[in-house]
Amino acid sequence: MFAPPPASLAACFPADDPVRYWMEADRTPDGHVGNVQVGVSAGRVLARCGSETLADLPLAEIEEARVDEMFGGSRLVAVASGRTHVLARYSRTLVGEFAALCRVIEDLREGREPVVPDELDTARCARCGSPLPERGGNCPRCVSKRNVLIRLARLLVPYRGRVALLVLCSTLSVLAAMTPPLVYKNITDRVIREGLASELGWWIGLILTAFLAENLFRFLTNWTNAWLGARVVADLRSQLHTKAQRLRLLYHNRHESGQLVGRVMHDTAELQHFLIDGLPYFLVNMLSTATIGIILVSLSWKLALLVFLPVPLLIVGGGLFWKHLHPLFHQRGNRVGALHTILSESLRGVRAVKSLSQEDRRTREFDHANTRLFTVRTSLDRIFAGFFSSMSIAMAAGTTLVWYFGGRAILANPSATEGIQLGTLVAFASYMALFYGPLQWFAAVFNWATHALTSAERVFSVLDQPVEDYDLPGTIRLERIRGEIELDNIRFSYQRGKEVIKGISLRIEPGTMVGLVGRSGAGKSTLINLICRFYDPDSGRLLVDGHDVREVNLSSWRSQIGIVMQDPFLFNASILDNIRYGRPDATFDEVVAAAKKAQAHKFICKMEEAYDSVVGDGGVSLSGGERQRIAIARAILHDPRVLILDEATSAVDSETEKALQLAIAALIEGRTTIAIAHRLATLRNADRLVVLEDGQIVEEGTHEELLAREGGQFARLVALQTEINRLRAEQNLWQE
Amino acid sequence: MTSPNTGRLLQRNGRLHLDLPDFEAPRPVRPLRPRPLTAPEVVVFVDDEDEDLWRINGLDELDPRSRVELEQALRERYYMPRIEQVTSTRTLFGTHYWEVVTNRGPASFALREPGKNVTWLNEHHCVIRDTVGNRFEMTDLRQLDPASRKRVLTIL
Repeated sequence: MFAPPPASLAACFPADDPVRYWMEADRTPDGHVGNVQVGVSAGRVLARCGSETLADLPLAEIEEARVDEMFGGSRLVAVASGRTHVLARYSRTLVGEFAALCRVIEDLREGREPVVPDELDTARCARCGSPLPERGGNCPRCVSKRNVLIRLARLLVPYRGRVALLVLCSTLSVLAAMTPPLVYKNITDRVIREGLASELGWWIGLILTAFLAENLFRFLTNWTNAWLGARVVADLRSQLHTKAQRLRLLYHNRHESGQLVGRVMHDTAELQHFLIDGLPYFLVNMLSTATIGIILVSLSWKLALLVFLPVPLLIVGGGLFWKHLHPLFHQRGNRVGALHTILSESLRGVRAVKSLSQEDRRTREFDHANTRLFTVRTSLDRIFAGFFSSMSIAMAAGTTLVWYFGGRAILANPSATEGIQLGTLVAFASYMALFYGPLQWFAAVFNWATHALTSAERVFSVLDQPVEDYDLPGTIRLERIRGEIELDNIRFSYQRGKEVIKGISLRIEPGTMVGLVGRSGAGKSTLINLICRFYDPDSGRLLVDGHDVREVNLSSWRSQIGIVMQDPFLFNASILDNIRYGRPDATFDEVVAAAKKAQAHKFICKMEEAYDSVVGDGGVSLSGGERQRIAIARAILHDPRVLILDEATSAVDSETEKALQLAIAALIEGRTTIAIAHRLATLRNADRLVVLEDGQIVEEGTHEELLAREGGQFARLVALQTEINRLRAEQNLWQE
Repeated sequence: MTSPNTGRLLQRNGRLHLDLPDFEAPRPVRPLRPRPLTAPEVVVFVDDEDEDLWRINGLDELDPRSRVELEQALRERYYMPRIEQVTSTRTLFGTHYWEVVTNRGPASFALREPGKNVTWLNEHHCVIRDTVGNRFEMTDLRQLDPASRKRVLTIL
């Protein structure tokens, strides 16, 4: 990721200690937009702005290099000989780049070969340099609308038969709709004026057939299209869901789940709406407008010109109108949202409002937002009214001109048998209504298309995200493992440069239990995430039964792991199905046996619908301890070789904790277990405890060994907890 | 709680230090704005343990030298360029691209979901947060030239 340095910077370093890493900041020391270069060699760090050197520090003198996150930006700071030097100030755009540089300095300072990420999730497009809508995302400026359209069209390829049918039917329906006005002309000129009464029946039959055909083909068009649009969107939706399941956790960490749900549901619905209603409307009307244009010219090019006269006005007017309306639509959306928020807050927070006696204030706030919505609604509808009126006037102008000049031409030559005849005028009148109607909507459809393409682009940007490497060729498929886990000098950062695991080596023998202890933020949960391979370490190796996990089939490793979390996730299904979620083929006897071991059987049977009770979102509510025991039963049935207990026994009362302890004891038997617990007493059964601090192991040993260690971290934590327990007990006594 | 001219600010070893009458020696501090958007003139000084040591309600409570030190420190910590001209805006796939001239120089940024990422402090004054978290301020929409204002109003 580090490009070759510019010559001016390279010149600042001696030949025997050349600059190896460098980065350019976007702010000068006085806070203006400008460039500051920071170069790092094996022996020194140098920052310069223009020709001025801001700092030139020997690496050996640097005690610390760090990034200060500030309001609206950050800075890279080095502390050398007790003095703080600001090397560079930069905007949020460069956070990732400078975090990486900071780590390089720290690595060099500590005598390690720097770990340089291959690429960063940059905030600017590497191709055009414009800011990206999200870090590491696609650049909409480089993704053309055409490409998005092509990609959308590609979704239709599997259904090309139906697409052909759609095109055929819509063309036929348009052609059928073009027929009646021509018949009117013939009835007027031939039947009425020339008195060929015998032809009347034939012409009427033709009109009827045309109407029938038009509607039949339109029905077939809509019929096919309803299926096609819904099919394409359903395909996209299911692609998105599959993708979301396989995306790296890093993506899920960065995006709220609501955002993804929005893309799966809202964006695809927007697309469906456009594909089913917008696109066919546009295509059919384009086709009919063009056809009518050709017919009109062939009937009488002079009159046709009169018809076309208001067309630019309609198109330009329509465009202007939508451009003007667009911000108002936005405003209306925002104001509806604001009103919703106030309303739902007033209702959900009704106790708070009443107890703080703020009813009047809420009323005022609601009325204010309500008035704002009223104002924007009024102007929207007024603009609409004005638009339709002026469009009608423009169309009426065309119609009037046609009748005036057409009428005069006929009066000048009433018995003409070619050119402008009475029938021509009748046909023109009918065609004009068909011709003008859709024109005013073209601008609206364009607008609509832009929205739909935005949705499509958002959907594609998720589909383009990298997924976990599930089935890499050449990976080993693990059979039932012994459960030996080894971490070999693992380093890891969620955000490149901000290391949270700083070189951890740990060996866990098969079938033993290791407790991870440490303050929140020490890296316990991260370590577990790494063991589950939810993330890959920046450097170092994770070995399972001697295999590097990167060379192991991901699913075959994960299927050996069972996790019981503090707040276990239950699916919206019966307790029975929740327990056998990992092994849907388990028999009821097996489920009951697992539930009994997990101390869950009794309370489940006490429930009215017992194992059939639906839990999870919208189901029966269970207590924290009950949910956990169900999760433990699930883990017992899943029978993993490696078990992870993440705060499995916090926040439950003593009675429940006892039941949970029994359940856990049954669960860990014979499995390699890694447990995190805030209540240190619950880790008493662990074969070994590992104390983490700031991403590193600071102590290791049995419960007794660590307790005996004078002034040790663990002993201190235990003493603190005993004190808290004593205070709590006293408080309880006092309350009783 | 605080009276004027009791605290003094100075630079030492590249860091801002605060000296209060009951301190034995000046302590290294970070200036923080507890209300960065609605009352930027209020500043608290916190030490490395995030302990709040002192608060002022305006820079005029400081002696001139301290004031210069604080102004410089705040300029560095609270970076929020003020938009003076909007040279172009473009909307593509729901992302609004801005090219602007600020009091700190030219800048370009991308804005998504203006309803969420624009905070209005009053009818004419707003703070924009771009897609990566940089902030830009528009202190008075009415002061912008007509072309800039029109570009702003189409998006916001």
